[in-house]
Amino acid sequence: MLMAPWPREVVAAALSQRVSSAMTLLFVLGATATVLITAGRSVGAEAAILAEVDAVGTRTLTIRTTAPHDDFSSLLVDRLAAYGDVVDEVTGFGAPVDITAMASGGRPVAMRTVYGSLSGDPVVPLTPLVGQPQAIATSDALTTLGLLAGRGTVYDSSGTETLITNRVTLPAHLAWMEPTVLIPSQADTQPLSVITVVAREPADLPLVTSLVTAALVDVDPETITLETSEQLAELRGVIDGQLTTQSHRLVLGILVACGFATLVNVWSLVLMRRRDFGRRRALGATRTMIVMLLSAQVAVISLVGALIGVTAGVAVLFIAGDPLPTVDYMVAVGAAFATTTTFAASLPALWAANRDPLTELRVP
Amino acid sequence: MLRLRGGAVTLAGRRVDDLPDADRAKIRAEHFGFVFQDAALDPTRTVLANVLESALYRGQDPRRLRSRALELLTAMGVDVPAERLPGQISGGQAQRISLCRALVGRPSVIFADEPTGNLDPVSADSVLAMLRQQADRGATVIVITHDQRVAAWADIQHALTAAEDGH
Repeated sequence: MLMAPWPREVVAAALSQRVSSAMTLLFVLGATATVLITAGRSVGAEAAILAEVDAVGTRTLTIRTTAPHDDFSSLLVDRLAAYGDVVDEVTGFGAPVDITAMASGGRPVAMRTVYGSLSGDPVVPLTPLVGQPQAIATSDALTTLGLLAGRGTVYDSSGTETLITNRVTLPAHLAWMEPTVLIPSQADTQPLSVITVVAREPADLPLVTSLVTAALVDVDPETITLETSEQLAELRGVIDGQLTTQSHRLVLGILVACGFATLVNVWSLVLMRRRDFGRRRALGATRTMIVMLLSAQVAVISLVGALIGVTAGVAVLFIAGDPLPTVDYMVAVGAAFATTTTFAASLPALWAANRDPLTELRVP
Repeated sequence: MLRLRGGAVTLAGRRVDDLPDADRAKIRAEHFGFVFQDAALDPTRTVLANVLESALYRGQDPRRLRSRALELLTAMGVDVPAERLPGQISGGQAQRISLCRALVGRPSVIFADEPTGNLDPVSADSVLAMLRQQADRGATVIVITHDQRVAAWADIQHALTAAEDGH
């Protein structure tokens, strides 16, 4: 591919000054790889820990009632789900009843009706088969019930039959419910016993809590308990940024060191090639051209160095089995080093551009 | 390149010594050709790249002047490959390459500082012939020399004596 004259000149100049270019490349390559392996690893580890905390439920609000109430029904689930800008998911559960796999007994498991959405999908009621309502069960429930095939009939205390036809995996914030059998239900006014609300962000939880409180204004507060994961959210807030605070200082230190090394390297180049810049000025190069030529030269080398350095850093982390930082972080590290070294190069470039060409041409 | 201590510099009727640096650089690129006493080639770039360098400063694509650069090198008797580096050629050839660089943009004013200093008589004659050719096409050629034989080629001669500070 043909290149425009100035970009070609930038590349040619970079290639012709091999030692200086190689040193700049190594500075940036080494610095970005070091940052990725040290600070990047911390960032990756923090992201992994926060993901674990989030999975436990920093965004979850659990509402329980000890007495059935008409306002504590699927209508409330629908009402809360309507706050879509702060509410991610609302699920309502009916009161649990014990079921067993045998009409004559066996190990009991709690069975509940479920309404709303679960794990991001709306709960769809299942059509009864041969007069039996259909249900879904968690793996723990199937094991407890002894239904190793994943399906079978269960019975409640009155002998009513329910057919388990499918397996379900509960999200982490509903782990307390294990083992359980769920009957997807239609919207009705049957009272629920538990409603879980998942906020979009941990920071939305206080607002969601106040929305729920407002929605329950007609319910006897003595019969309602609210369990929020605010403590987890606070823990998340404490963790968020703490692991990487020390890393930020390290990154800053490496950034300054890399910038200074580049400054010295480019200044050495400028001093060694004073005649070169004097000749360019005499032949008609403007000061801006000199600054742009040198700065662009360092920018190109730095970008290549950053690309190789980030790739090398990621490779080391991957081979070691360490957590990887996000792509945004990698791009930010590469851009920060390329920008810093380019800025560092602009200082000697300005010096070179403002020298008297006649004086520089007389340098032996 | 120098700031005046007195007087004025005009180019084609236009005063140029009081222009901003960027404008004076543009005038140097577009109107002037320089032959430095020591050739002042870039040792890291090829012969051809050296000849084409000033095109960049005029805003031209050096590739468009490639054939003219090769013609000039041939005309000046530079019998080395255009891809060779200045460190691999003789001082005389470097001086002739410097002249090619000065002429490739067809400047209206050519400054030549001892253009034949490193040359044998035959090569010196070809350089002087080339400078004469430029003068004949209308360019102003200003030559600084200690060589009376070179001075004899000039239409106008000014003799300078060294000042106290040696300049």
